[in-house]
Amino acid sequence: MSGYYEYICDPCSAGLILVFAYPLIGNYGVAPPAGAQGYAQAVVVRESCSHPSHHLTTSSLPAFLATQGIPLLSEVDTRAVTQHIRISGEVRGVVGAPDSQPPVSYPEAALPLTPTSWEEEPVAVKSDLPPLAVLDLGAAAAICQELKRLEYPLVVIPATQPVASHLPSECTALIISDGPGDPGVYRHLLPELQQLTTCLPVYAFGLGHLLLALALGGDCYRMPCGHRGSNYTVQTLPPVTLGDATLEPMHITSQNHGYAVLESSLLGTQLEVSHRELHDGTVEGMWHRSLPLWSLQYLPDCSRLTLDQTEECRAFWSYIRKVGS
Amino acid sequence: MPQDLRLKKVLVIGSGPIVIGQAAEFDYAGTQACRVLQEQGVEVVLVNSNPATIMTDPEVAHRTYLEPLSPELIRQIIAKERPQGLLATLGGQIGLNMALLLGNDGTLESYGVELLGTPLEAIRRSEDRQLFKECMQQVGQPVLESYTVQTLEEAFPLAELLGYPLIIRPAFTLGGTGGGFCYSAQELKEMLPIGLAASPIQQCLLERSLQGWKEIEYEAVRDKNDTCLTICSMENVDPLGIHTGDSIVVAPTQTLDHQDATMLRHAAIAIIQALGIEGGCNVQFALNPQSREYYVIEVNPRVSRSSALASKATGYPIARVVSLIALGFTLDEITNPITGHTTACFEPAIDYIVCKVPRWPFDKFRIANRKLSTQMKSTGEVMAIGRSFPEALQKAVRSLEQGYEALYSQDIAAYSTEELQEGISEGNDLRLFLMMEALRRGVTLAEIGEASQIDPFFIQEINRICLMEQIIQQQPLTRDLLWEAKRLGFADSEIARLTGSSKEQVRQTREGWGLKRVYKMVDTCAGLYPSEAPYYYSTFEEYDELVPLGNQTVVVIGSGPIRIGQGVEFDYCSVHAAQALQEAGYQAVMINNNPETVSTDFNVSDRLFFEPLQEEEVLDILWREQPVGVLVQFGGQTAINLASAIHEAGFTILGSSLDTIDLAEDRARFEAMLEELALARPPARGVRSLAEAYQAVEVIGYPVLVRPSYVLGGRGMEICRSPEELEGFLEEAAKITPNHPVLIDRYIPGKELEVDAIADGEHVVVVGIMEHIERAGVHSGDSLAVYPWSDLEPWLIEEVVEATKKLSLALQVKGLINIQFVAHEEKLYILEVNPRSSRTVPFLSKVSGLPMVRVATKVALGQSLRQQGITRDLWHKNGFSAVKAPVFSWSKLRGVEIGLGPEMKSTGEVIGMGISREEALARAFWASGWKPGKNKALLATIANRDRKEAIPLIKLLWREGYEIYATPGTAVDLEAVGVEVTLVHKMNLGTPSVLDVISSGLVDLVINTVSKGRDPQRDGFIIRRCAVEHDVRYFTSLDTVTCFWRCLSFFQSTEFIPPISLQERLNWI
Repeated sequence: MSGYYEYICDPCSAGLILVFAYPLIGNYGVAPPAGAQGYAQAVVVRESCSHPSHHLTTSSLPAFLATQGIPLLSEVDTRAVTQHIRISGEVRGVVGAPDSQPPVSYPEAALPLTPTSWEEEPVAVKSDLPPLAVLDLGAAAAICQELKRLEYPLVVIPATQPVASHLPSECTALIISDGPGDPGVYRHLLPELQQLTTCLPVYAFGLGHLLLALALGGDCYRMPCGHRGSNYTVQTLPPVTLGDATLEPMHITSQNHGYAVLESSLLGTQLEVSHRELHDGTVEGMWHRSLPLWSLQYLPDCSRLTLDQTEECRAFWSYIRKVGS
Repeated sequence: MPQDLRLKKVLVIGSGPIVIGQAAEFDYAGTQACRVLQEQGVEVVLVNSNPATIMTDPEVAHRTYLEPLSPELIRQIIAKERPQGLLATLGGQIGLNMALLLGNDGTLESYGVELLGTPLEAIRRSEDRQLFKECMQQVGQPVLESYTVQTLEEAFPLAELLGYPLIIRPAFTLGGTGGGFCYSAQELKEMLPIGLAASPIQQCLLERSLQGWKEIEYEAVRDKNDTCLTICSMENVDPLGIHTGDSIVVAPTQTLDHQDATMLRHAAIAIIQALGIEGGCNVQFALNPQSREYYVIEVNPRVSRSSALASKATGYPIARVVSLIALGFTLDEITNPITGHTTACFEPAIDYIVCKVPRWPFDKFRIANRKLSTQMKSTGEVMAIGRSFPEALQKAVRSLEQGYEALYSQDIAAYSTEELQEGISEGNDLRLFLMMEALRRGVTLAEIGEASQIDPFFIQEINRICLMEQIIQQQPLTRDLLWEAKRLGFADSEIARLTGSSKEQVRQTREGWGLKRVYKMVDTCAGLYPSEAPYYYSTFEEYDELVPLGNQTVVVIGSGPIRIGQGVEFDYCSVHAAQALQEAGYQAVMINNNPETVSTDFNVSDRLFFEPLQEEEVLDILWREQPVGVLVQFGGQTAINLASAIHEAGFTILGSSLDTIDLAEDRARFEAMLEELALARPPARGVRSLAEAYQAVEVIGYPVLVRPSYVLGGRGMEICRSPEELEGFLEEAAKITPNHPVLIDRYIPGKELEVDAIADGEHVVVVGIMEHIERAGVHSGDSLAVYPWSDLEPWLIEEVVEATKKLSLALQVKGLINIQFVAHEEKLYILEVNPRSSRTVPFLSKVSGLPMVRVATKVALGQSLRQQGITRDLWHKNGFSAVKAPVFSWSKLRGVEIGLGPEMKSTGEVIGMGISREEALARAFWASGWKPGKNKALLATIANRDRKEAIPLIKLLWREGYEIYATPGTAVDLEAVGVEVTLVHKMNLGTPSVLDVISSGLVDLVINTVSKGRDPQRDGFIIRRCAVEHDVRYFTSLDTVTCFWRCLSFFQSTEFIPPISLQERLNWI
C-alpha cells in the first residue's frame, strides 16, 4: 500500500510495467534525492493522487514520473489486471493509446544495468582490513549502503567485465548483488563465479542468488507469477542457526523477482535450501554443505531500505565480520 | 499435534453488557473463540452476563454461566468446573481485569488454571503504566513523558513540569472513562478527582498533549515461536485528541510514506515482542506530521474494537487466530480460512480502502456536550469498503442511518460560516458535515486544515466530493460524468437531489448507460491467490467477480450500526436467521455494515455483502442474487424500513408481509383494527397545533404521553403532567418533525407487560410474558424485565394470550411479534405492536429454551408451528426466574440527564437468574454494577409528589441497617415516621451539602426522583450527575427501589448462592 516510489526506483523493476493492486497511489507524493532514477517501464494505477501530503514530499507522483519519462496509466481496474496476471502468468504488456495496435514483439530491457547511485559517493576506505568485493548486477546501491557500516573497504565490480580483473589480491568476501531480469543473461560469468566460490566466501542476494545456483550446477526457471510485493512469508529451514545467531523461523519479506531456483536441480549439487516461501514453496535461500556461501532470494527486510533490521541480516553481517577477522 | 492436549476444559470470560467503549466486537471475538475451542475438542465454560449475545447461546459453550462478571463468582465457577485453562484476552477490558484479579489473588494458581495465550506478566506490563513505560524504554521505544498520580496534591507540581495542555488518563478503564484534556490548574482540580474515581486502582496518568499529531494504529499478532505479524495499519482521519473510537478511521494508512510505515511496523513488532504477548495486540502511535518523531501511546494486549475492525477490513480473522495461538498453535500451522489453502502466517494485502465512521447517540441526548475528546462517546460504528476514499466515506455516511444520503444535511446548511468554523476547530460529531459545508461556501482548504488539524490529504479528498457536487449541479449529466460521480460514491438519490430529478430517474439513466455496480471480493491478499471467501463489497469498476449463488437463496437484511434503541439483539436475530436458513437447506446471504458484530463474520452466512443498508445497494444485490425471498423481520427498524422498496421491486418478503408491517405502523389502520377486535388502547389523538393539543387533552386528561409518529426506541417521547409541560415539549417536538402530527396518548401508570410470540397465520405461541418493574412511562428497554409470569393473576395471563392471538392473526403475522401491554385497574390496554423481532428475543430465547428466531425463520419459509412440533398457545415456564436489567453509559456522556422516561437511554443489558425472583433480581443488580456487601448509607432527596410513596420504602431500608442522609424536605417527612436522619443541605446552602456526601464517599446509594427533567441547572439533575461521576449507585424510580429492598438479603453476605449454568437451569444436563 505504501512503497510505490521504492518499487518504481528499484532496479529490479527494470523492464516491468508495474501494476499496483492497491487503488490509491501517490498519496504521500515522492521525495527523490538528486539523480534519482525510476526503472519501471510504465506504471498502472486505479487512482493517482495529484495532491500529495507529506512533510518530505517535493513532488507528486505523476509529476515525478513525467520527469522520468515513465508513462502513467490511471483509472484502471487494477484488481482485474492483477487477477488476470495471476491466472495467465507474468504477461507481456504495452501501454498505448486506445486505438494503437499491439506490437509484434516485446523488447527486453537492456541488461546489465549501469549502476548509478553508489558511484556518486566515493566508497570510504579507512580500514586496513581486506576489502569486500561487490559484483554489481544493477542493484548494489542498497547493499553498499549497508556494507559501508561494516567499515570494510569496498570494491565494486561491474558485471560487464571479467570479475577477476577487478578483484583485489586479498579479499574478505565476494558479495553478488541483486539485479533485474533473467539470470541467463549472465551465463558468461558462471565459470568464473564457480571458481571463485572455492577460494572466497560468497554472499549473494536476489539475482546474485540465482547466479550462484547456476554457477554451482543448479538451474533456474521463470516463475509463472513472480514475487512482487511486501508480504511474502519466508520460512527458515532447520538448522536455523548461523554462527552464533538463531534465525527467526518465519519472517515477512519484501520481494521483487520473476525467476527462481529450481529446487530439484540442486539435488546433485552441494547446495542446500535454507529458506523457502511458505505458501508456494519457492526457494528463497541456499547454503553450501562445506563452503562458506549463503544466498537469499530477497533483501532481508520489508522496506528494502535498511538491511540490519532482521535477525538473519544481523547474523549474516556478524558472520562476515567473523570470517573477515 | 501442536495443540496442548492437557487442555480438556477452558474457561472463557466474556465482556458483559454493552456500554460505550465495549460493544459487540467482543461478541464477535468471543463467539469465534468458543467455536475454535469446540472445533479443537475442548470443552468450553463461558461466563458472561450479557444475554443479547450469540456467545451466550447455550449451543456455543458446554456450560454457559450468565452470571455477574465478578471475581467472587468466577472463582466459584472455577471451583465447580475445574477448567485447566483460562482464556481472558477476548473479553475486552473486563476479561483482562478479571484475569489480573484472579491471578493476583492466587485463584488461578491454587486451582491449577493456566492462563492461555498472553501470560499474566505480559498483561501486567501492558496495563500498568509504570511497568509499560519501563519496558518500552528498555527496547528503545519512545513513550511520552508522563507521571502517575494518585492525589491532587502530587499532581500540581508534576503538571507544571509537563506544562499545559495535558491529558489525564485513568488507569484500567475502557473507552477512556474519566479522562480528558486539561488546559489549566483549575481544570486539573476539577477533572482529576473524576479520573481517580473512574480508575479501579485510583491512579491517573498525566502526560504531554500531542494534539494534532497523527494517530496511527497497528494490529499485531505473535505466536510462541516469536513469529510476529502486523495484520492491518489504520489511520485516524481525526488527529490525536479525539478517541480512536470516536474518530473516522481508514485502513490502510494513507498519508504515511514507506519509511514511516516501515518504522511503525517495526516498532509494533518490537513492542509485541518486548511485552511478551502470545496472541494479539493493538498498538497506538502518535506520529508528528512534520517529522519522523513518534510516541507509543497505548497497547491493548487483547482483541479490541480495532482488531474487530481490522478483521473485517482485511478478512483476517484475528480472534480466531489468537484463540488457536492460545491453544498452542503457531501461525504457520493455522489455515487462512479466506483462501482456504494458505496459512495465517502472512500479512494481509488489501486492494480497496476501508472507512469507519462512528455512530453517536446525540439524537437521544440532545443536551449532551457533542465535543469529542479522549473519552469515547459513540455507541457503534459503520464500515464501508470502496476503491476510492470519497466512495468509501460516502458509503459509510449512508450506512449510518441518520438520514444522510451524502455529506449534506439541511440543518447544517443553515449554519453561519462562523458556526461552521467554530465546530470544525472544536471537533464534534458533525465535523465531517461542517467541513463539507465550509468547502461549499469557499472556505479554503488551508483554513479548514488549520482549524481541524486534519491532514491536507483527507481535506483534499473531501473537496473532490464538493467539486463533483458543483459539476453535477452545473453541467448536463453525461455518461462520463455519472460514471465519475458513482466512482466517488455519489448515491442515485444524491445525484437526483443535485440535478432536481428522482432517484428512480437517475437509476434508469444510469442503467441505460450500462453503469452498473460490480462486486469485488475481500480476499486478504489483493488478488494474489485464488480465494474462497464469500465476502463482497460493491464498487464501480470494469470487472465483476460475483457469481450469483443460484437457487434456494434467501437474503437476510441486517440491522446496521449499534445505537441506543437498536442494539446487538438484532444482530443476534440476523445471525440466527442465517443459521436457520442453512439448516432448512437454503443459502443465506447477509447484508450488513457493522464491523463489530457476529453477523458480519463471513463464516456466518453463505455470502456476506458489506454494504450500506440503503435501497439502492440492497436492491442491486437482490437483482444480482435473485433470491427466493428476503427476511426483513430480524434486522430491527433498519430492515423494516427497506421492506416496501424490496416489495415494490418484486421480491418476496418472507413471513409477515409488507401489509402486516404497514397495518401495525399506520396508526389509523391500526386503531380501526383494534376496534374491530375489541381490544383497548389508551385514548389518543393526533394533533398538529398547540390549540389542537389543548383540545385533545381536554378529552384525554392529564397526564399524557406525547410523541411524534414513526418512532424508534422512544425517541422524542415525553410524559407531560400539566399544560406548561405540554407547551414546553411541543415546541421542541415540533422542531423534530415539522410536517408530522404529534400524538398525544393518555398516560396509564399501570403494570407494563411485554410479550414475544411466534405466529404462522393460523396458530400462535406466546413464548413468554415479561413483567416490567418500572411502571409504564419508563421505556421498556430501560426497565427491569422479569421472567416468568408467576405473579400475574390468571385472568390477566389469559387476556394477554388471547389478545396476542387475536392481534397476530388479524395482522397475519408469520414470524415474530412483540406486543407491549399495560394493565391498569383490571383492564388490559395495548401500547405497542411490532410485527418483527424485538429487543427481548435473545433474552427470552435463552430463558425459555426455545430458539425463537429459528422457529420464526422456518415459519417464514412455510413450516407451520404444528409442523415444528409446537402445539401450545403459551410456552411452558421454566422453574427459575430471570431478570433483564438495563445498563447505561452515563459516565461517558457528561451533562446528560440520567433520570428515566419514555425515551430509551440504556446502551446494553445484563441478565440475572435465580431460583426465586429476588435472587434473580439481586444477580441482575450485581451484574449491572452493584457490589454486594458494601452498602450502608444512602442519600434520599425525593420530589414532593413522590414522598408519600417513598417515605415507607426508605424506612424499610433504614430498618435493614442503612444510615439515612436526606435533604430538608425529605428529612422532615422521614423523621415524622421515626427514621433517624442526618440532615444534609441543598446545594450552596451550607455544609455538608448533598454533593459533599456523595463526592466524599459517605453514601453509596442515592435515591432521587426526577421532579422535572432536562434542565441542567436544577439541583436534582446535578445530584444525579454527581452520583454518576463518583461511581455512586443511584435510583430514580421508586419501583426499582422496592425491588432492591426485596432482594437486599442477597446482598448482606458475600457468600452467594453458587452459580448455575444455563444448560443446568434448562435441565439440558
